[in-house]
Amino acid sequence: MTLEPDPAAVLVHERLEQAVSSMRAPDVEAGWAALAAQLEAPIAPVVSLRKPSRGRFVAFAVAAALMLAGSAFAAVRYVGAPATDPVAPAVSPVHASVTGPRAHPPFSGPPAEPRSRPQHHTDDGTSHGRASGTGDGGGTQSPGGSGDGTSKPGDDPNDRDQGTGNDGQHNDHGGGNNGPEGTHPSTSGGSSHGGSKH
Amino acid sequence: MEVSAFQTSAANISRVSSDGKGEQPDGRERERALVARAKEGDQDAFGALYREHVAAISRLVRFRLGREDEDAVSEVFLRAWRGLATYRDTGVPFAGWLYGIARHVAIDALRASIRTEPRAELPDAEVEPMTAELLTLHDAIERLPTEQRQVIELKYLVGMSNAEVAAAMDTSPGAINAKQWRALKALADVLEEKP
Repeated sequence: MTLEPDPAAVLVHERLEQAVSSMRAPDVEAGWAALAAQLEAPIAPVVSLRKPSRGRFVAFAVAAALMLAGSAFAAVRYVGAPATDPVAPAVSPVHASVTGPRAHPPFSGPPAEPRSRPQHHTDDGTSHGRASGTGDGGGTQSPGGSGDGTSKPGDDPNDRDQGTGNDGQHNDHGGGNNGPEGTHPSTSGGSSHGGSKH
Repeated sequence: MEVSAFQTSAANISRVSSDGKGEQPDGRERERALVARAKEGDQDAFGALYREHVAAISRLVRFRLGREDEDAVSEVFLRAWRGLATYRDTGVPFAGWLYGIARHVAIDALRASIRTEPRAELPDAEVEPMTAELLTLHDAIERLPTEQRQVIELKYLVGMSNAEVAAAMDTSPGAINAKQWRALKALADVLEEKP
């Protein structure tokens, strides 16, 4: 069976061909000249303002290398160091903050009376109170002071040792405890130790 | 059923694509290279594309508007130039992309003319005979289903081959052959019905 093309369809096909071929061809060059005058640069794709730079990568690499090197160095030192007593460190921050720059050597006189306040222990085995005075009259006293905790005429106004010792700036008027161990300072009648301003 | 006779007729119909552009692989590759250069801002490459397609676009615009309109043709290529960044080569010929733009431009131009020109002032008495034939065909094609109308426009006005139309409509060349046959038959029926 042969499919014959529809004569009507073929006729329409010929009409279409004739209509298309009869259309006047446009003036291509004139049209392009007119169009080219209106052309502008095509819209560029969005580009990030921050372009990846080599310097930034180098900076990051150096920073990372330094961090790794520091970590490795710390790890090596930690492994190579001798084991220390974790309970009694050489200097604890709390101890340093308590004693501070006005820390004094431990008192070698009479032993301190038992105190109810907790004390800090150092690695040399001595104990330090907040104020190392041994007097029991109100406030703090110098170990060699009168023990009443009151200032007297002639005392250095800048004296802030609060009776923790005779530092040479303190005039205790001979009230220091230079008597036998266990006697009251007021009854000792001793003289001042090292008081420069007697 | 033997379809060789129809295929012979269809082959004759396919010769409407007189310039044969895009049918050879070399022509397709050349067009791709031109599009790629034009996307980078090469106006000379876009000029080559313009020279290759302006005749087809001009025919389509004239057929759609019923008159020559150089401004509308220029608008098609201006929009194409501005939208080149969005063009993706998915196998559809560049002419098919231009065809889509031309349809929108023609619609915009028709709306603008309706707004600006009173119907009473349309020059309908002094039209050329060929223009009357074009308008008759135009009116008849407008009454076809969308798919058949697109086949007729792409084949006869844009001048695409069956393979190109098939790529543009995402179907096979054989299916396009059959669609073209049905579209011509339907168009003949509409023209016979028309008073």
